[in-house]
Amino acid sequence: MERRASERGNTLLVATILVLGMTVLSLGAARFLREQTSLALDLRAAGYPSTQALYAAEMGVNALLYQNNVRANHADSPEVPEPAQWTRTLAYPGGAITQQVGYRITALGPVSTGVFRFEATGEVKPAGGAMVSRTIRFDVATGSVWVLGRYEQK
Amino acid sequence: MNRSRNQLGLSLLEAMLSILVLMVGVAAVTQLTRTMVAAIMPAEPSIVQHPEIVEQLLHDGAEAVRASKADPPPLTFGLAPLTVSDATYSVRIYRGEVPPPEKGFRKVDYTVEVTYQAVGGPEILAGSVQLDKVTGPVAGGGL
Repeated sequence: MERRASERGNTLLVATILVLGMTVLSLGAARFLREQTSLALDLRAAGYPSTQALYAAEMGVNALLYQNNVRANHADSPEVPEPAQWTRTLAYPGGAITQQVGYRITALGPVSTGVFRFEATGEVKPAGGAMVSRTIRFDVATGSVWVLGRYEQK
Repeated sequence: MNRSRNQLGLSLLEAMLSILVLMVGVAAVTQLTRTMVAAIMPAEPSIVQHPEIVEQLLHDGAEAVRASKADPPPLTFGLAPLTVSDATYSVRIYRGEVPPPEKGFRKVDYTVEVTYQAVGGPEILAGSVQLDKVTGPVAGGGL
C-alpha cells in the first residue's frame, strides 16, 4: 500500500530526530569514556613509582650512614637499619594516589679491611598497582666516620 | 509511471537521498557538538602531559637538593620553570623539619614537586618524589 507524502515526511522527521539524539548521546558517552580512561592512565603514571623507589633506596643508604655515624661508639662494622615503610598520598586533580613506600638494607659482607658492602632496595607499591623496586649496591668505609664508597644503581 | 517502493513508502532514490542528508546532518551535528562542548565544558587538564619532562624535572630537583652543601639546608634552590609552547612546568622543593645536628650530622626530608600549567589554565600537580639528605662534617657521610 502506498503511503501519503505527509506520512513519509513524518517518518523522515522522526528518523532525523532519532539519529541526531543518538549522535549527541554517543558523543557524550565517548567523551566521558575518553576522559575516564585518560584520567586512570594519568593517575597511574603520575605517581612515578620507579623514581620514588630510587630515592627510597637512597634514603636507605642515608639511614645506614646516619645511624652508624651518630652512634655513641664507632663500631667495627656498621649496623643495618631496620626496614622502614610509610604511606604517601598525593592529591592530583581528579583523584589521589596512595603509595606504600619503603626501603630495606641487606648486608653483603666485608669487601676488604674496613670496607663493607650493602644493598639498599627501595620499594613503591601504588594502591591497586604492582610493586616497583630499585636497588643500589654500595660500600661504606670506615675511618673517623663511616663514609660512602662505591655506589652503583642496579 | 510505476516506481518500486519499500515498506516506508520511499523510492530507492528518495531513500538514498535521505541517508545522504542524514549523514551530512550527523557530521554537522558532530562538529557543532564538539565546538559547543569545548566551549561550555573545557576539558580538565591532563595530569601527565609529558611524563618524560616531569620525570626529568623531578630528577633535576632531587639533584639540586643533593648538590647543595649548605648546612642548615636551604629552603629554595632557584630552579627556573621550564616553558614549552603550550605550558609551563615548575619545580618546587619543600623542606621538612630541620633537626639539630648530631655529631655534626643532620638528616632532613625533602619533597620535590613538579607542577604543570597550560596557557590560561590552572596550575596542577604533575609529579612528586620524597627524598632525604644527610649533611655532615665529611664528604660521603650521606647522599
